[in-house]
Amino acid sequence: MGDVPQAAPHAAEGGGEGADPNPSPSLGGCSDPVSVELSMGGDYYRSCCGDADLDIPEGPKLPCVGDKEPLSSLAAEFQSGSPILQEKIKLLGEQYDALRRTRGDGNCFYRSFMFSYLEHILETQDKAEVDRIMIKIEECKKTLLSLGYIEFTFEDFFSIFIDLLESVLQGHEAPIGPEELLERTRDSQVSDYVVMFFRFVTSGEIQRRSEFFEPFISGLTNSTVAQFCKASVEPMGEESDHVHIIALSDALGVPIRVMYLDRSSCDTGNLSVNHHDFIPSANASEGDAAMTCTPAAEKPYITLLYRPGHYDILYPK
Amino acid sequence: MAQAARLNLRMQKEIKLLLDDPPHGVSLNLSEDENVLSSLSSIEARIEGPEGTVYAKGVFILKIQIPERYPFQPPNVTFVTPIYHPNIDNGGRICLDILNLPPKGAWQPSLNIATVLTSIGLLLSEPNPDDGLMAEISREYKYNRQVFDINARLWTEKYASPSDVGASSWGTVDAGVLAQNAQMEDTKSQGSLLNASKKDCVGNQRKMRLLGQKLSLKSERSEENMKTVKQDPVASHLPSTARSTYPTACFSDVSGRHNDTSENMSGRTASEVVSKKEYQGNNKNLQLPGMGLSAISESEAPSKRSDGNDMLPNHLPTSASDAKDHAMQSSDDILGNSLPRSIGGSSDSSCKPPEGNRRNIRTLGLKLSLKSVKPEKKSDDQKENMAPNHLPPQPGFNKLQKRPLDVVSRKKFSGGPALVQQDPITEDQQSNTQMVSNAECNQGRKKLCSLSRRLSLKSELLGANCACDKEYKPPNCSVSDKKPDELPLSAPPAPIPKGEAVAPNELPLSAPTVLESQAKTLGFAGGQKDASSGNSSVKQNTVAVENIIVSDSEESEDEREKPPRSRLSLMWQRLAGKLRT
Repeated sequence: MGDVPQAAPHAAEGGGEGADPNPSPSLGGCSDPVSVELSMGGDYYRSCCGDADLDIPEGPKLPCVGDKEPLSSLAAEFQSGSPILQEKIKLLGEQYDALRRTRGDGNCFYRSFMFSYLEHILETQDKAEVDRIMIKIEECKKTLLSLGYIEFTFEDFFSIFIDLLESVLQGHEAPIGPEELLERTRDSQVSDYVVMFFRFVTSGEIQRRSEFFEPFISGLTNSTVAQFCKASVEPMGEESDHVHIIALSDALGVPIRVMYLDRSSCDTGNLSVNHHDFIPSANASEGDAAMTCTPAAEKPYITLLYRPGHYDILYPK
Repeated sequence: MAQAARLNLRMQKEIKLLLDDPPHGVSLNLSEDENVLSSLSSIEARIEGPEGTVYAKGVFILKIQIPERYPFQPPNVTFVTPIYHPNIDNGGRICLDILNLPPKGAWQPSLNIATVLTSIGLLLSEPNPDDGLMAEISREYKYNRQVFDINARLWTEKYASPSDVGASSWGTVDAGVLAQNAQMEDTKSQGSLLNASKKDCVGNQRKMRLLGQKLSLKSERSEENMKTVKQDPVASHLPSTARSTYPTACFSDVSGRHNDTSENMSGRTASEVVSKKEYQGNNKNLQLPGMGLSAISESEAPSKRSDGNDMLPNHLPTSASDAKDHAMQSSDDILGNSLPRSIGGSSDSSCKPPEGNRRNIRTLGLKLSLKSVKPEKKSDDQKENMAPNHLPPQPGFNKLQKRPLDVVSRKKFSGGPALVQQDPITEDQQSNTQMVSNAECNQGRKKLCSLSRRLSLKSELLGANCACDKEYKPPNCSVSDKKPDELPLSAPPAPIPKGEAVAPNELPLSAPTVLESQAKTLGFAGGQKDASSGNSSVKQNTVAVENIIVSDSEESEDEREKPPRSRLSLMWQRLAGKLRT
């Protein structure tokens, strides 16, 4: 958290230079890690840069996961804002038609990911995917244990997520519908536990592949990998950056697309909404080599809308 | 519900880990009837002082409370066992980043109790004086490490003795701030008291002090004492100062800064181990005075409850010890406070001009502590004996005590001396006491005055003292009316020397009593603070305190030179009490 404000001033530039020229997925993270990281900004972005038009909802006012709302509500929100943003929202509207907000308390990425993923499973009933991720979760457990974590410190978080996962899959004891899923994920207890599950997974992945993540992290915070995990991953409320998303996506093998709604623009005048696909590397254990071999075949089914300092869920048409 | 069950499960695992594979030096503190699974939200652990540190060989009890939202919220961990540490305050609260949530702290849900305890162990090994909760201790740690080490070891020995785990609590510490230092020297001081006190008044006083400290320690254990301490506003406000100062004072003693007593001191320091038994044996004589005091203290206790009538006679035999504890503690608190301030003000380690005062103060503290000690340490038999002897002789004692609570307590103080005066010959001990008291009074007069002033200053500073004001007022009036003359007269030009000259023989025995009486006065004031809530004239308060103290000392002097006068003073004190009521 503490580092975000310092990075924020650079974010405006970083966003323009770094994010724009890197429309190509996956490679961006490797080729220009620092600028990409900075472009992610933080909650303080707004206050630092005076982006009054980026009205990010306050945490306590919003449920952990909000209702699905049309993208037009986003347009309305930026009605008097930057023309660039308005234009981008319009462009977004060509691909996406709905939005679901999450509470902006620093855990928004995880909450967005959680709901989006569970909703995807609920809708697709993709048992194969569930089996696959269960294996991944087991691996994560082992990773944490090998890192010296005591099992009881994370097993509760794991079990809550697994419970949720199983419950959304029909055929199990008490399948739940979309409304119940929403209800459960709005329960701050459950939601927080799942957030912590993701944080553990993320932290474990970063530490397991510390050599790969080390340059990202040193560019971000000037701390060691372990320090970074202790200070910026595991504590609740610590915002997620590029590093976290890469790690989570890799650890669980779930691709994530992030649409960047920022004020960066190209000089050419051809405005486009930058996006970045976080595609889990097939063999993440091999470090950055993994990043280069991108299995582009997989299209992310989780799409998040990023505005500096906040993540929401986007629904494609 | 689910959350609670989950938390329970987790806590079971946490506890299992602590039982099976605890961090180094840590163990769970499971009391006899406490089932491990019965209270998962509040557990106790013991942590051994890390070897090679000032806490080595100490065993500290930690209380760990698990919040509902654990592990999203950090556990609440406090030291039950008093510990002298820059990052641990007088309530046992620990200044440790992982015990607080971000952004202020560094707690994270991935931590657990074992890691917390490990961190606390590290904190013991490496205090962080730059982020100290206890400013004085931090300063000491940074700039006067030697003193810190001595004090920390002293505390460790005193409160964290492995053979006596859990016996001490922070409440006791406050009550016994003064006494703490003295513990080490108990044995020697006691022995010296009887033998050497005659020759060297000063020496005796110091010894007394030491004794008092030890005694106070004992008294600390009683629950009542703890309460008293907490209630005492002054004590609560000044804890940090008092502590730091107090140790400092001890240190100075040890180092022999006071030239006069340095010899004695060094000898005492040599044997830090206190043998209570020896002490008791030596103090039999002392006990008698203590008895009288105990009676007084009893009356105090009742007074707090608000029914002070006739309490003394009835309660004395049985509850005398309890009452004494209260009284003693309160007095201890006050003294402790005053001492630290006066001394502490000058600071960590340098004794300045106030040395004389210090000594006096200490003496007072000692005496007070002595009183308290006696009741506790001594067997019931002694107590019983004491009570009967003292009570009967006093004709008006009952009446006096019937007065309202506050009054009663005061009277007790005054009563003790008064009784003696009235029946000087009845008991040898009593007479001795009187004599001693006189001598000490002379010596300590000025000191007392200074103390009282300081106390008053403190009281002024602290809103809590308001209560004291009320009660003290009457004494002021009475003093002013009856004995305007005496004050000037009584004030001795050279306080310390006089004491020796006065009553060499009797000093040892009686010294405690006199001191006690004085202490009681002080203590009483403290007690009143607790009891009364109200009002406020700080100035009056100050004055009153001073007057009282002065009067005591005066009395003693008067007794020596002018017996009638001393009686008068006692009388007026009583009267004051009556008036008040």
